[in-house]
Amino acid sequence: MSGGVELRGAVVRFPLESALSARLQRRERLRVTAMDGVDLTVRPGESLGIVGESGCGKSTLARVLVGLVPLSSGTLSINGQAVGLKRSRPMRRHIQMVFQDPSSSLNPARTIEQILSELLRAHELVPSGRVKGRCHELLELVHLPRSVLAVKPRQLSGGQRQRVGIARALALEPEVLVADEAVAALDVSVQATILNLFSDLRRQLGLTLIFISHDLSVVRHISDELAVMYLGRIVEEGSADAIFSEPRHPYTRALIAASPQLYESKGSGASALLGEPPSPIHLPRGCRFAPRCPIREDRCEQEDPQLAGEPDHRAACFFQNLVVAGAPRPVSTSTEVR
Amino acid sequence: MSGRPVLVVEDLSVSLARGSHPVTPVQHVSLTVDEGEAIGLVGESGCGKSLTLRAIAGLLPRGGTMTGRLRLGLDGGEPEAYEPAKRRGRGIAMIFQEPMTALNPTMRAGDLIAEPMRVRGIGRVAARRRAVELMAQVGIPDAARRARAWPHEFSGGLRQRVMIAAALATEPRLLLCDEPTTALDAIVQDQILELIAEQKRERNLSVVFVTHDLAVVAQISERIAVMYAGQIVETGATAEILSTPGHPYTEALLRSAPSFEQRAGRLSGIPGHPPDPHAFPAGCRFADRCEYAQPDCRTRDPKLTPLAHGRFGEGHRSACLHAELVGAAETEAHA
Repeated sequence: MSGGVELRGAVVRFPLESALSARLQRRERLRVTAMDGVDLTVRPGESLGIVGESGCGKSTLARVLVGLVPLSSGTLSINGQAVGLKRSRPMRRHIQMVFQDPSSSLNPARTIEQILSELLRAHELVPSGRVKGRCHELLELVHLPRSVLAVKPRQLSGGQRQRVGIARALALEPEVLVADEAVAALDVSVQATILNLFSDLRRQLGLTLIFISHDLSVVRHISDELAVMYLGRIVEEGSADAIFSEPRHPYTRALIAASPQLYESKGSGASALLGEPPSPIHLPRGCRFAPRCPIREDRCEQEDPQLAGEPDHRAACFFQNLVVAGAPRPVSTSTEVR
Repeated sequence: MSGRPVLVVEDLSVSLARGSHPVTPVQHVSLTVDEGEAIGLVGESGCGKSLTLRAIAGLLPRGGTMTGRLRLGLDGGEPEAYEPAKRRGRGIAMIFQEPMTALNPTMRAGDLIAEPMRVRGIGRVAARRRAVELMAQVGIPDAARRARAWPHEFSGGLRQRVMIAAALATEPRLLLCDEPTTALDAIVQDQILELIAEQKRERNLSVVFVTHDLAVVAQISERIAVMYAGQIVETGATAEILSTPGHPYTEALLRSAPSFEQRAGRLSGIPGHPPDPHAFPAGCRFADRCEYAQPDCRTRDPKLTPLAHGRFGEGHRSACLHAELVGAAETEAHA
């Protein structure tokens, strides 16, 4: 088994002020909770999509997976082995990341050959005589001509640069690829070719793919499994088919309704949501979606709902079985659906 | 299409002086916007859509020059030539993509909205009262209190609402929107689109909406104009362009967009990239990337002409020499 990822009770908090300033004011240090108790299991070879609005913690999750951000509590294991921030070189090879903006994540002063071969040498992946050959193979994987080896990132188009970003991630022969908004900065026509590339690579190399995006249509296209995040929590997870055909959490429903679609004249279901997410510094007590929820009850403001349902489709909502289009407001007396 | 024209753009070209080699990223664009109509100007980065909008608003970047004719017919009269920079704030208002940089950070929201009214000679108290009213109209909760807040104290969605209120404060007839929802999350984007649509209905506004996102345009506009390499390559009613595109570029763009319905299939994408504005090729500018390209496409310049073929409706125009080929295979397959 290789390429499995498991997060248990993962919490990430970032301090908002220095410890000194908090002490001078004699109070707890202000912290923002980016991830608040996330459990996630990604099976080898799976294609998981993670969606949510800005600030929901999806990028923090990506950074935790590749070891760029430490967990405040909880555990992360890759291939059944617990890992933290400090990872040995072989450990780092298992999981690699493709970033959103290839123009800022590639060193502008280096040629593509330098960018790729540096990794191959540092990790001693191929004998030094084979480095150039391996660079050619990597470029072939991402459908770039060999001539790009000699150029610097700024001489490439956005799509080509993202292909270099992918080639760089693949250079270490990872089992898991994490893509954080990897197509968000690209035009649709280019985005389509990069999405195709991800699907091909996944099949060809048997990669586990964790694809993070704010764009539901993109995730729908590339992922078999789906996790919807809201304010640092996973509020719904399961097979993408199940979630798209029968979303159970009111937030997921709103997100689907709000995503503009080409051939669907849609109602303004999403606008029923009032306002915008509350601050992750002062989280609400009960369900964190309650302040915006169209079907909230008193209970939602008191108790914090946990993920519940079948193994292949779970949602963190007390009324998940009642969240159906056009359904009447649930009645408090008949709502023990836990 | 039979409405009264509010904005008439004829043969607009925009040049930018970049070093010793001026470029002309917008060439021979013609466009008419009727009263109460929203038109979506769509295209990918660098196609000239924003520059076209900025020319209409008189906001060309330094070194930018335009040729062609712009006419404006605001109060029921015949469209007349206008000075773009002088009409902005007097009949024409514009909202931008990034409200954090477009709003003056040193002014309170209420003052930002009141300022254009003060400029027009409305008294301070009246302007302030009107500003609070407008903030309430665009859905800012607790408007009287929030009028005292600074732009940085608002969330992205509310900031965009403040910008819309400031635009509406000038009582515009024509609202120019430059990717106003691109930086927003799906749910907030939906709310803002709904707000723009509502204000358009209530005030009978004409709207030019620039975006890269066809799905957003499908939601907001009655007509679409698709731009590629500085030219409008297709225009027509929104529903028809989406169902029966008459230009190979539009068709390819539609096939590139992932959607909820078509799952697992491959997206087609468009091979290659748009031509460099320093050296637009002769003939059709899309020919190099076009699956229907014929030898004459590289020599003859296609003009935006009405589509004669029976599949296409009235008012649908395309700049393709072989528009009859576009989507023809699919139509036959269905028949």
